[in-house]
Amino acid sequence: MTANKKMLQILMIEDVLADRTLVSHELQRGGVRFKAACVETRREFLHELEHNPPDIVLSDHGVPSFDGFAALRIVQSKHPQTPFIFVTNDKREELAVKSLRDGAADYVLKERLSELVPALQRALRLAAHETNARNEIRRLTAELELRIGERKGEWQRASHEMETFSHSVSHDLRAPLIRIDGFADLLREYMGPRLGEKGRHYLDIIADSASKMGQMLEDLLAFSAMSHAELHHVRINLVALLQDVVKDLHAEAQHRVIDWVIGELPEVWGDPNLLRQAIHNLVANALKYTRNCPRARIEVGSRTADREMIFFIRDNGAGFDMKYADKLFGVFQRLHPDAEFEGHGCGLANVRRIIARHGGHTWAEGVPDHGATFSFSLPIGKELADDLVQMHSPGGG
Amino acid sequence: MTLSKCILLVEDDSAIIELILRSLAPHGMADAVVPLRDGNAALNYLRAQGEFQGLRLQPPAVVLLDLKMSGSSGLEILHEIKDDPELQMLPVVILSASLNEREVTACYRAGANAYVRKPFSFDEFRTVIQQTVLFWMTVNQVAPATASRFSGGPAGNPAVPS
Repeated sequence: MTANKKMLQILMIEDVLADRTLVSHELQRGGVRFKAACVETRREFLHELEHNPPDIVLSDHGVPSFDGFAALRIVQSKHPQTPFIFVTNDKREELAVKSLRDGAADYVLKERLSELVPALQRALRLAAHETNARNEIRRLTAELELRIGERKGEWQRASHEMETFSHSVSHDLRAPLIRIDGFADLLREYMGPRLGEKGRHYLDIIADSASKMGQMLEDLLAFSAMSHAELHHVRINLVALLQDVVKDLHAEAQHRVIDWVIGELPEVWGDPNLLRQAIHNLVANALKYTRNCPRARIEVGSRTADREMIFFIRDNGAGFDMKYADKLFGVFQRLHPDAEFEGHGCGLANVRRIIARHGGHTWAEGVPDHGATFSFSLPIGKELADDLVQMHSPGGG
Repeated sequence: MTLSKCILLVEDDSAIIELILRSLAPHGMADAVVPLRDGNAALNYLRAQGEFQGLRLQPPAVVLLDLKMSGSSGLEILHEIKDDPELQMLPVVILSASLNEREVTACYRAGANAYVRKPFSFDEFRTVIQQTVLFWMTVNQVAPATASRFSGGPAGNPAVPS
């Protein structure tokens, strides 16, 4: 027993000398090796508590100048790990209940003092368990912090690498393109007439390819910039945001029959610029792939599930085969040939990355020639969103 | 267009130099370009020292400075120019393939007068170079401090060592 191994430091609140003696005697009889300090006033109690922190406090209820419950509160606030046992004559049940409810480890009646030692041992055992558990929590927390620190370091390294990569994309890869396009153009200018139709056609291919590659580099750069942009969360009204996006895209919708079905959309927490870009890409996608429909139908709505909001946009356009559902969100992944629907295949990759950075998911359902539904989820509540965003490493998503 | 001032082009990529000259040719400005392959040569030209000492040099109306060069970077040269009381009034236009925010900011902080991204499409490239040069050639007068450095002699082929 812990109590027997070393000298137990006991702080006793008791004004009756006879009772002190009785308690001491009982403890000795129970084989407890202890050193007791006895106090009768609040001042003495505080002094002892500070200078000889006890392993356990035994207290009477009825010390005239100092209430036992006040003593209990003091111990709980200053030494929450130190057990507190009431040793009293008061048999009132409500008092016992209140004592235990307020955090006393036990309640022993003086007339049944034989229960004191078992109560004391039980209380000390529990306190030891608690201390162990607390130490374990402390150890795990420290370990976790260490791991978070490591992850943060990794993240910073990855972020730095990504920046170097972006720089080389934007500079080192663009520089040769300037030359390819420039000299193809000069060649056309100076040699055009002599090259003949076939030669000029080849030059067109060179220029087109350079231009396409240039656009892809721009997209790649935008994608990586977006992946590393700092998020600024605010409350966003999705209805207003959607209206803005539709207005921006009105050129795409002109001279077409489009039934817009806009359901209820909630307010969300997120980065307004990034979410706007995500929704812009989704709406632009829906407009693009319904281009061949005599009557397009684009439905936007939301529903709330367990602690998240799900946004969806459904169209009756070209759709896709579900076996490619995962490919849709990759960078430069395209399911439709350029000739049918232009694009570079970055839009949905951007959507996925933006939503992932907000702690949400993206998915798509579709049937070829019968339309597609793109959905994403966002966690509800700012705190939750912040937590998830922090957890999200740049490689994730 | 007759020019008594020249355009100092600091660019280590000879292909880009050629594209810039071709871009300016339709405006008759290609002859005004003094192309230099590295930043230190540019500083020597501006300070009429080193290989340029004692030569009759045309005062530049504008410096087109490539940001990424082997040897001294464009940013270092920019600092040299803008920290030199006799050269700091000279407009410097940074040419760069990238639009890295940090680089753009660093250049403007160092006193760049403009930051121009070289577009990869030659049509745009040509337009951007023409517009940039036209703007700085027509809007800007040579700063007196800089002009006094040069002999102000008649326009001719700028003395450029090959």
